[in-house]
Amino acid sequence: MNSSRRTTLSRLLWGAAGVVALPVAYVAARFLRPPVTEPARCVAGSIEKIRSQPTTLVRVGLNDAVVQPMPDGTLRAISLRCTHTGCPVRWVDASREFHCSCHGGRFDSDGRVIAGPPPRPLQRLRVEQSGGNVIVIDEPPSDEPPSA
Amino acid sequence: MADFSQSQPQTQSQPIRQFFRELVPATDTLLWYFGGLVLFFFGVMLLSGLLMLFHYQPSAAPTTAPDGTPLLLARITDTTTWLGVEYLPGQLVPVRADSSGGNADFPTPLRSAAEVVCDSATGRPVHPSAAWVSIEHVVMRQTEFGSLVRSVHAWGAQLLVASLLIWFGGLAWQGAWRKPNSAVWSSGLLLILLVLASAWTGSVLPWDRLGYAAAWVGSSLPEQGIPVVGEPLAQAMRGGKEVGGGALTRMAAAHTALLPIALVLVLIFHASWWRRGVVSGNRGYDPSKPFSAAAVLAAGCGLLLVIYPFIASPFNPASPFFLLPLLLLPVCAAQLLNRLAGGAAVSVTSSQASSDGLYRQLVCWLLVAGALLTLAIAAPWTRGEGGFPIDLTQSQLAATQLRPEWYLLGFYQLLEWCSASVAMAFLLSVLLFLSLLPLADRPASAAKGRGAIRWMVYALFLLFLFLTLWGYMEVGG
Ligand code: HEM
Ligand code: FES
Repeated sequence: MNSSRRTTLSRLLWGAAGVVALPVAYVAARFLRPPVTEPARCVAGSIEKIRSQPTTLVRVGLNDAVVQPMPDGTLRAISLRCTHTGCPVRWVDASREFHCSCHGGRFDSDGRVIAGPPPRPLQRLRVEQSGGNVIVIDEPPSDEPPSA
Repeated sequence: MADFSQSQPQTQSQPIRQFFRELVPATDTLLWYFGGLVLFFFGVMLLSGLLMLFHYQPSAAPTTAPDGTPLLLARITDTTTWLGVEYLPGQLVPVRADSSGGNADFPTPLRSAAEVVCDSATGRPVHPSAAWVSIEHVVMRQTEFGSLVRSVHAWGAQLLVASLLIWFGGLAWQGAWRKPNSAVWSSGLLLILLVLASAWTGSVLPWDRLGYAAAWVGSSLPEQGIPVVGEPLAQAMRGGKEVGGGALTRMAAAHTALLPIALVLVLIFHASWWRRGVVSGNRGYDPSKPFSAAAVLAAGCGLLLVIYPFIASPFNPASPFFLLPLLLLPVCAAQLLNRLAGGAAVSVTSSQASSDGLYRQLVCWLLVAGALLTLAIAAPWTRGEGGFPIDLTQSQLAATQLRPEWYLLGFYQLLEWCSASVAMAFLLSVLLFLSLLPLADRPASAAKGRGAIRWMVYALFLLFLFLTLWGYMEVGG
């Protein structure tokens, strides 16, 4: 067999090997992504109890959150995980603000950023009512797209 | 085929090419491809195994959700879709426990489509282990391509063992323990033991009934069959008198660190000794009849592949009658392709042609990779009845009829017929015999052709085949 045919064949083979290697690398990269999991949820308390308090502190998964009855009768939950690098924020009653002690981020009572490095308002969480209880779920409310 | 013979200008990659040229001398007997396949499958096992290590949790302890909520085991009762996966009745899923810990806090899609699994003896809910959940749930259902990677690892193990046995069988048949190859022979035997140990320890890792049973059976053999050292050996494997959570830790350490490292080391020695003398016997082929053997084998395998699913009911892709043709078919195809491409111009004994070896193997690897992928996608790995999780705090280790791997059927058959100590003694003396072959076989007896020792090797072969077939007929399928 002449050598040019040999070279063509060998290129073809290495090409085929490359065609195989690329999808393998792609599959490996996708495989290493974190698994899909059920969002954390917690029972915040009975509906009456939640409605009777201005705020209720709950723990959803690994983070704290507050549940608040709104004037229009709905319930709202705000995650107390700072949107900067994830430190816990705490409610400061005197100034009616959420303060983050890590880098001085501050949020108003609706969770909007007032000062400091946080790029986004505090995350709203989904609230469901089931069996007379209020349930907080660690994912964005259905009326709000997940923040980037 | 590319030709990197002396006429090639010197380049930086010359030493690498040189290495491969010596590592892969070109013969292209069917058998020769299986040696390369062992290497290929080992690479596949390393890659898929390392990937799974990113998700696998080697713990027998009851597991929790990522946020710490305890998990219970539930059984699907109605077809439903949860987190993008469709579940069918009978499948098992881990679900969060509610704050009381005893009931499930079902997510909405499962609320009327699943029930908590309780232990039949105690009536308490079952707490699946971290190991089981990480493989059967996280990898198989919640990770992208998870089922593919796991199936490639599990089917790859089957095909690796198959290639290894074919390779070893062929070499033994050819008398490959002869003088220049004694070190290759001995290190090859060690490789076989290490691979079988890998397959055994790996099968324990999902920590289900099958894994638990495998841990017991495998560690009991030395205990029952080897005097004095057997018992301490068994306990060293189990990490105690019994198979408990500690055994899983040990199996995982052996499977994911000790054995792979040992395998790589032995492989390096094995390969470098092999370079010095080609074990497979550089016999070449007759260029005037290039297709005969491969074509006949391929046709036979193709036929078996096509008819096996019809004659076997229920169809079992893990059957050797399906797996072996599935492996042989692409190998035969590679040989045909190579002969078509290389033609009669390749004189297999010339040193020039030896650079073709790597390319010939590459053709085979690509085709076999196709077969492995098809298998992994079309028949995702499942452990069937044996896949039920183990909960050491419960007593539901109810006996399930578990099938040994096909390549162990022969040994199981032996165990049926004689006591464990006799079977073990037999196995160990066969091993001893095989490893002493290089010493026993003097050139004189080789010259006489088929000496007594060769006949003993043939007899062992036939015994293995006979026992395996017998065992296969006993368990059926
Ligand atoms: C000779 C090479 C190997 C063989 C024969 C082998 C065999 C096996 C087998 C039979 C299983 C059980 C599969 C199942 O039924 O689910 C398994 C599981 C596993 N192996 Fe390997 N393996 C090898 C190399 C490796 C390597 C190098 C690693 C990583 C460093 C690895 C990591 C794993 C992991 C994490 C599991 C658990 C996942 C599962 O059960 O599918 N394996 N192995
Ligand atoms: S984490 Fe809150 S301001 Fe940086």
